[in-house]
Amino acid sequence: MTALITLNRVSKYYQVKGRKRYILRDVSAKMPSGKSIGILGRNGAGKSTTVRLIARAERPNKGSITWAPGVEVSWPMGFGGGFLPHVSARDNVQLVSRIYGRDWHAIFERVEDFAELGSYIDMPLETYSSGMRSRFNFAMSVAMDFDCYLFDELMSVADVRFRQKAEEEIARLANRSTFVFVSHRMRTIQKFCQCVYVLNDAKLEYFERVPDGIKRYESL
Amino acid sequence: MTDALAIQLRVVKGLALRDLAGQFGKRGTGIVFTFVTPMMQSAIIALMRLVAGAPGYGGMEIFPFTVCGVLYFRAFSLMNMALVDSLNQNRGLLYFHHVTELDIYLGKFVTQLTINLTVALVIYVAMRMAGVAPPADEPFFLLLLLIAANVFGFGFGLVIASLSLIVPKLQSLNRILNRILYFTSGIFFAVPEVPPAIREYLLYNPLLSMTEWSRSFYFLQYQTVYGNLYYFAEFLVVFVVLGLLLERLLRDRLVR
Repeated sequence: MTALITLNRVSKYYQVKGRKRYILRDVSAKMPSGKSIGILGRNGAGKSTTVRLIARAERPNKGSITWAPGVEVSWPMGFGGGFLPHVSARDNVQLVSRIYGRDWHAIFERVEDFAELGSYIDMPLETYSSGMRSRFNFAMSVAMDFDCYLFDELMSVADVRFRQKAEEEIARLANRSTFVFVSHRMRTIQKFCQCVYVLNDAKLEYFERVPDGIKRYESL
Repeated sequence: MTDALAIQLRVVKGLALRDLAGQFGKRGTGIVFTFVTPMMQSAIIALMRLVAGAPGYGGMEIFPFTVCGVLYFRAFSLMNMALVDSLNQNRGLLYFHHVTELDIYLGKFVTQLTINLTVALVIYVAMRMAGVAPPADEPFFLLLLLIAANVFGFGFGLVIASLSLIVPKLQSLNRILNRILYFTSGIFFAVPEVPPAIREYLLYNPLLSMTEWSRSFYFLQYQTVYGNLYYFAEFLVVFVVLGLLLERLLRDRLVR
């Protein structure tokens, strides 16, 4: 099995009141390439941290996480923390595209088309409603071509129509990219994932079949 | 050029432009204050010296005398402060996987260096046009020293930023230290004006040597006796090397 993402003896913990609270403890895993992966776990188990570790936005305390050579992994979809609030969506597209070395005009066209912000596209992000912000964050993420997209449930603030549109876009992306999903919606996991990891007690348990993973998750 | 270096240069450039947009954005007031603040500071110090009956020392005109002190200290201090805060303010950028902690620091360095050099140039031109300053005698060395002040600020800020991942209180101490350095780095005085008993201690401050040499480069008739450029350069090199080492060693301590 070729690995898209390899976790090699990874430990991640936070100090809480002087004690180590482990999110992952000595975890090794080879996340398969060519498959979309679901990560399930109870609230507070550390799913979002795991996604941040995979995104390399956070470093493990021990061990290493590597991506297959040449693979581009997205930032967690819908995440907007790297965007500047007091400049416009247009300027943000330009700035982030520069960091990734992409043609910002092409990215901007896709964002403008997808996010449906109208004249707000040239307004500072801080003037956006949470729904508009969510649409921009998502549109920005999908407008950049990645080999693997990371999803951490952040679409909750968008309206039903946009969520539906986003799902259609994800289905379209599935033809050329894979996903790592963190979601409590089993329907989403079943629809897009071909295998599942269940995060429990700082360990990742792999399930080749999605129904088996869901069953294990429901038994927690 | 290796791919990694090409990516790093692209990222640093992107971050510097992002930072400039972030600092000034659509708000013109930010730009105005960037230029007005050091001018006002220099003018107030010049006025204080004039009122105290102490115009520029050793034949130096008062305005370029105080401008040298203010601009070189500000270059060090603003760079230091910008570095220390940069990671806190830009943690979100680390979600873009090409971006590393060092890139954020380097992007901030490029932005702040650009601002500091531009401000110095504009103030110099303004002083010349207003007829309150003679032409600088050694403009090239003045420029080199200004870049060195920025690099020292970078190294110093990197040391504090890295160590504050273990000891967060260092950031507050850094602000206090900057205040002390402000009063002891020769912004208000030339070293020969200070009583020998105090001078002996003040000369431990490498920024005082920097200020003395900035005035010597501006006015060739003022040859500093006490400023030691090697002493300043030693501090600069030690802090830059130490800062880069600590950044590498301690970056894993960052809780994002």
